[in-house]
Amino acid sequence: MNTDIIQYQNANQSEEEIIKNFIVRQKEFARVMDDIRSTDEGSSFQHYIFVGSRGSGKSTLLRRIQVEFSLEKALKQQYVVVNLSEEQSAVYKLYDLWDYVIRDLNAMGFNIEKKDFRSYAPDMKSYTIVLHSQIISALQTKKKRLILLIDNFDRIIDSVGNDEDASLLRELLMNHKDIRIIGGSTVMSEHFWKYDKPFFQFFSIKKLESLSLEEVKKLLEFWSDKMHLPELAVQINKHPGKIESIRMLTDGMPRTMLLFVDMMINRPEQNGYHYLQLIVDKATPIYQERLSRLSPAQKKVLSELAYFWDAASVDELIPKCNMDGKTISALLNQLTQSKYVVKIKGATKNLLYRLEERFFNLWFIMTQGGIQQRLEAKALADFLEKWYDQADIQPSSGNNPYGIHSWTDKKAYDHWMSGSSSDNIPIANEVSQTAYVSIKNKKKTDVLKRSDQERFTSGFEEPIKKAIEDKNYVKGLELIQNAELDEGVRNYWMAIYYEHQKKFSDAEKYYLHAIQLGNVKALNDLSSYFYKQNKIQKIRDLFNQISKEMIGLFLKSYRQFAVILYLYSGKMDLFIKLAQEELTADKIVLDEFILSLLIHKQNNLVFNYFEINPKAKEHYKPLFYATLKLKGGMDQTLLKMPPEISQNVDDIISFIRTKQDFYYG
Amino acid sequence: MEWKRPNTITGSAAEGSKYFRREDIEDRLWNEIDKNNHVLFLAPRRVGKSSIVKHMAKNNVHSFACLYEDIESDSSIQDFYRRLCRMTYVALSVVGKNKSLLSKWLKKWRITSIGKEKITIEKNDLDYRKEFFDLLRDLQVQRQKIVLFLDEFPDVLWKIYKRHGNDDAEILLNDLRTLRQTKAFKDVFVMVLLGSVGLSHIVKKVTGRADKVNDLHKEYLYALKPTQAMAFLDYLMKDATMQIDDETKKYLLDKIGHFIPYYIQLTIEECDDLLFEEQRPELTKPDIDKAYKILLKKHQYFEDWDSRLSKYFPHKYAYLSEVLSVCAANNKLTIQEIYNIALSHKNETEWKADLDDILIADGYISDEDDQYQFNSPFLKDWWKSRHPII
Repeated sequence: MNTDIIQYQNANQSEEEIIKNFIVRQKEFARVMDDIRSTDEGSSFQHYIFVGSRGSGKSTLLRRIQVEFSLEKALKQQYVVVNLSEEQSAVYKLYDLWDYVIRDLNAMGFNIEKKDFRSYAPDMKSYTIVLHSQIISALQTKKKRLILLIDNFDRIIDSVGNDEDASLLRELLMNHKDIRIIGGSTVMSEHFWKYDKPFFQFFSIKKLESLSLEEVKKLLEFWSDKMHLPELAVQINKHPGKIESIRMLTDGMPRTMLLFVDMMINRPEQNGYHYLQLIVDKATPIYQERLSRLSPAQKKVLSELAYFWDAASVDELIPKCNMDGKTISALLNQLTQSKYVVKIKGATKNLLYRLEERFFNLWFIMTQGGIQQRLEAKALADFLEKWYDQADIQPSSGNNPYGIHSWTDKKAYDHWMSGSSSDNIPIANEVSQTAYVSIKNKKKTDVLKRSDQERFTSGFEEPIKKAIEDKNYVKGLELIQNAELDEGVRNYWMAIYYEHQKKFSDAEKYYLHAIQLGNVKALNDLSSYFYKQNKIQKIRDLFNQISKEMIGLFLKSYRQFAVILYLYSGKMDLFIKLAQEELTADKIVLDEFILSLLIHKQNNLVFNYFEINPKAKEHYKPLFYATLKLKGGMDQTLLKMPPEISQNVDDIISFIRTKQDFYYG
Repeated sequence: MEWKRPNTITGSAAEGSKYFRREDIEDRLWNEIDKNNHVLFLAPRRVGKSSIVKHMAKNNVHSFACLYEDIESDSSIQDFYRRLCRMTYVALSVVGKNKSLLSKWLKKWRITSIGKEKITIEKNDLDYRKEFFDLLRDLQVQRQKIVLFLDEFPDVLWKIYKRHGNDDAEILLNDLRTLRQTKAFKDVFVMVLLGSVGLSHIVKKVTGRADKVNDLHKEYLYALKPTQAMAFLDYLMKDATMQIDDETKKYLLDKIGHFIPYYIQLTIEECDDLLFEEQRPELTKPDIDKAYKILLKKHQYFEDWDSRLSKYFPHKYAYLSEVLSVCAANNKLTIQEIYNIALSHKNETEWKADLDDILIADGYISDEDDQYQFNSPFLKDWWKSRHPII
């Protein structure tokens, strides 16, 4: 990792650096500080606990709060701050907590007498109360109140948290308003939410959630400015899919996102999955250390559970673990207690389990999993990247991206140039152009098949495409008219030329010319244009007037789109026949095909496809869960959904609903 | 924009400017104290009992020596009476009279001062139960009335019972009765016992009967009335940047349904966070819906509230669950309806005890004017979606 960024994460930063580098968690910081500033001397305190997983920024937030007290004069006069982040592992009982507070206060010039526990033993409750009284007395003498910052408060409360000590701590906090606790906790301890526990709803719990896309943007802008890398700041607009994919799959915690920023600085131009691999590699020491704390049997169950990725039941784990159900249940209970695993209860008696920390699960899959598991991870990362990589997605809005698939939204030439659903892969480089010219000069074009002609002519088309994209229409037109192009291709580009200028009737005219000259791409693009405009009659007319040969060619080149057009235009017999040929047990169809089937209300057909084709289900995990949600009545299976894809699933459903409104009103 | 937060507090008891006065209940409590009646002050957790009595103890306009303490860590008779001795000593010190008495106990108990209001009793080998009754006899001579507000008292009784057995718990209960029923003691010493769990059901578990505390005067703290809830909202919002018009206030209160200050404040805080993020002062109805949705998501530990019933009371679960489901669906439930449900589950004999000892004692619902309601609006909504009435 870049040394500069390491330095920024280091606990030994200067106060100025802490303030300067504090980019995210601003809202939480403001909330606490506003409260402290507006609490007058006679009023009681609100105690806070920030709950967030490792790397969520708890310690940094506590440090930032500490710095605020040391820099602001008014606060400094009223308060003294003790930050027990380093010493907490030594806190075993409540008196240890007060003992460490006294040590820290004494280091700041308080002169609190050291009491010997032996004078009180075995009555350690009295000793605890005396230590607390000493602190209160010292604070009152100095006319100060104490802000006690405790990182990993859950660990403290677990150590001291037998009901006796917990009751005493609550009692002391209730009876005196001289100490305000602001803590961090990796888990939402049951001490905070169980009615019969002393600290039931006692703390104001603030969850440190995954960073939003907006917050990631802030991070990028900050580092862009800091490292003088303007390119970094625009990444979020240029590659939102890459960033969103990584944000979702790594839990979006600040520490991981900082790693990502570092990767983007040091290894730019990777795709999302490559970044993910690099981040996962960086996390390896942390997770190996976590694994080393488990017994071999626990490790086995945890690994197999992780490979499921989705939540799994004991019954599902039995054949994978080669253990009986009772043993697995016992091991899962241990793992649940130590917070590795979370238990999910649904409507039936069968419990489901999954790894609590989702990035840990991804780490398992990408480092310990077999080829199949890794492919699934790649497929998911790619899918998310593609889904969110659309130009009109609004960062952090959670709205649906329009234009996930070329059939509906992308510009026709984009589609054609990318060849996303066709078997025509354009070769758009100098070599192909030279080759074409050379072949043509030798008058061998007649031996080329139509598709080959299209491939080779595409070399001429790059400059045309660029001119149109640059809105240099004069140049574009000149190139179209003068390039050595097949007439069908020339008409096709004329159509694009007009379409780009929003002269749709002219565009349509040229598309039709191109189609008459046998240009199948023109047929694809014109029908795609009508489809995305919901002009169903135009599509019917178009297909009525073209030759069977052309339809055959279209079915060969753009089969899945053709299937959707049959469905859309109500030709159900043709649709059913062709859909059955596509949705087979051994074929992974295009994501946009599945999405379009769902838009046109074929939930059951898609569901059946996923049922017979488990590989497709794993390959398109978000689409599978979106299908379940749309289908309804699958609540138990829905519980298996990994939480990291739930936002994407909601986005997909929302997109589908919007499209359904568009097509069906 | 400089953003001023609402004046909320959702964890500790509200004190100073955070405290929204409940003069009606304060008056009722003072009235009983004036009559030398010991009071059992009951309400589920988070309704605001401690805030009220803390204010009373600090702002006592009578000539009594008053002190409040949370006593939940006490787990023996010795703990309890040692505390009463210490509290009485501190309360008297604050009044500033009775110096000779104070000096007598100072020596006998080896009292050490730590700070202004903080003392510890160092001497361990004394029977503080006996000391306390001796102290009360001294007070009779001095004609000084002491009022102690003891928070979480039922918990202490339960701990003594669990740790030291039935005999010690009975001793404490008998002592309390002596203190209540002996005029000489009543004239100088009054206790206000606060509890979030019903004392009578603990007493019943300890002694098999509830009559040992029947003569305690009981005061219940209910949720705010609609007009009080409106006034409470105004109190919270005074000087805050966030602005709410009357119609929106009403909408917010309707959303919460049952006006426990804790839940009103949580909702206000969440709304304030939303607006703060957008730096927009006017609160709208959609903001409230959004804030409420976020709160529901945050309070996601209701699964445990459900599974606790099925785990510990498997044979009663169907009855308890239906009571909660109907209560959630209708927002309120009468005792007659509950009995009707009990009959359908053949629970004629224990239905009321189950209601009191489980659903009320464990904080699910509480009753007010013979209507039972969920304490938490979030739990109510969760229950409604988890156990819909079809």
